[in-house]
Amino acid sequence: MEKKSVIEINHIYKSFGKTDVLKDFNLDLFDGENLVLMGKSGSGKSVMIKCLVGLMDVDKGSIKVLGKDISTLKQHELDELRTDIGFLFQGSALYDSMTVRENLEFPLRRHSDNSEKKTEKLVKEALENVGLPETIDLMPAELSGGMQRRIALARALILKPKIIIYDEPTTGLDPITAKEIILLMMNIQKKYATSSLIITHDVDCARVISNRMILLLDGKDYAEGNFKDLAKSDDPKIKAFFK
Amino acid sequence: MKFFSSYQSNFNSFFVEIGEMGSFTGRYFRELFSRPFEFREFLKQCYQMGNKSLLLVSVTGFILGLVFTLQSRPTLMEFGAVSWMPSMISISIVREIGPVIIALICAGRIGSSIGAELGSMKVTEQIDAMEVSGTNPFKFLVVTRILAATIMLPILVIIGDFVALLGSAIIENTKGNVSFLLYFNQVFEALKFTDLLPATIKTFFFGFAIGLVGCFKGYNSEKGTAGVGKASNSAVVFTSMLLFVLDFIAVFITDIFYN
Repeated sequence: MEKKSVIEINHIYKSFGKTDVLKDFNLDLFDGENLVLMGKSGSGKSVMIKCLVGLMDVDKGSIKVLGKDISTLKQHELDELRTDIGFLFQGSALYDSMTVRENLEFPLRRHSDNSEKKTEKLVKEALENVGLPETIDLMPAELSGGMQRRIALARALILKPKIIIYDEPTTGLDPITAKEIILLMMNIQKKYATSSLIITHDVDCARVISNRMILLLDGKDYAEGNFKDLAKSDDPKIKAFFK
Repeated sequence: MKFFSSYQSNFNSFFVEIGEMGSFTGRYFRELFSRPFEFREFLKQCYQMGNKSLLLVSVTGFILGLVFTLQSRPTLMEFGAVSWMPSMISISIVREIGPVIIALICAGRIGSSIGAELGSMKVTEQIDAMEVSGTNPFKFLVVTRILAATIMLPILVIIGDFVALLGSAIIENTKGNVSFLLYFNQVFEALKFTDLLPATIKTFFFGFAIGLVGCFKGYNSEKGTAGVGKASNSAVVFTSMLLFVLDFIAVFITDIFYN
């Protein structure tokens, strides 16, 4: 049976001034899989995901999310599509003038007609999923980096998205907290059967979580395969990723 | 040659920024009248700007009234015109000094805080996070703040003016044995509708300018902590300049209409 793509990126190009960041980049994310995109710092990973969620426009090529070409969508259609995408930012990006509760309520209040009671229940459930129910009335500044990342994950999941994009989920965390986050990501994938696109340069994270990997080099999808096959490759450019 | 080319480049970037601010203003008016209205955030911003600036505005107004009266008293006494003190103080404070000084204080307090807040939200990707969650960050962050500043500044100026007159009345009461009743009686006799209306109208524009420049600088701040500092600083500097320009325009127009 043919796998269903939830994200299709075809031949995209993006440049800033004279610097070409993405050159003929392609990617398919299939339903229910964990796809890891690995690349060196500055290789265009973050630009690619910003194009993917419509925060940046591509110069050429097409991006389809859940069958919809994002370049042709009107603003309200794009906003609606975005509720099916959860996004975990590298620096967590929690709203620092709001409490944890308000951070989690923020997307709920805008995209659902839930009663106060239901909203409260959903917020508590999301916090229990990430193991931090006691932080509900704290401000983000009162939380550690790992806790902030977990809360950000709870916020990304609260609308029960079909796709989750993780931008460097373990960067800046100590090895133990990084492992906890990876385990949490795996549990979430099992529980909600989401499709995940994980942008990372953490080899351990890629080894544990990936079903498939794409290596991004010089703005192109240089290689694709599972972790084991790519790690065994004799190509010096691929080897450099796993050192 | 290098000196001139650097001046030319600064001159060009100034006009580019003015153009960008024009387009930012256009977007503000388009989004202002489109649904959904972020009423809760608007009220929160009114509270942040109004309530939290109240003490600063009151203290500034009070000292302004005290100092202005103390400084003017000897000169008026020399000419035997000390009885004109309430009229002179009230007209100068209500027409000009009150709105301008309080707007400048608010440019420092509100403009810099908006610039720094939005700048740091941009740097830490909070604005992107908002957009990715399907919320219009411009409407939620910018429209609410500009509208709140436009509405709260006139209220702060009215309070500040009143406190300044109170400060002046205290000096007159202690130094000249003028009762509070007599002082305020003379104040209200001296003030005309033509003093109050233009002075109040211009404060709406001052509030709008403070909110607009703060939001523009913060929303378009450069990456990094230096970018946040620059956004906050330039918001205050640019707003202060703009306030004087707006004040000149307001006085000029008032002069055409009433004289």
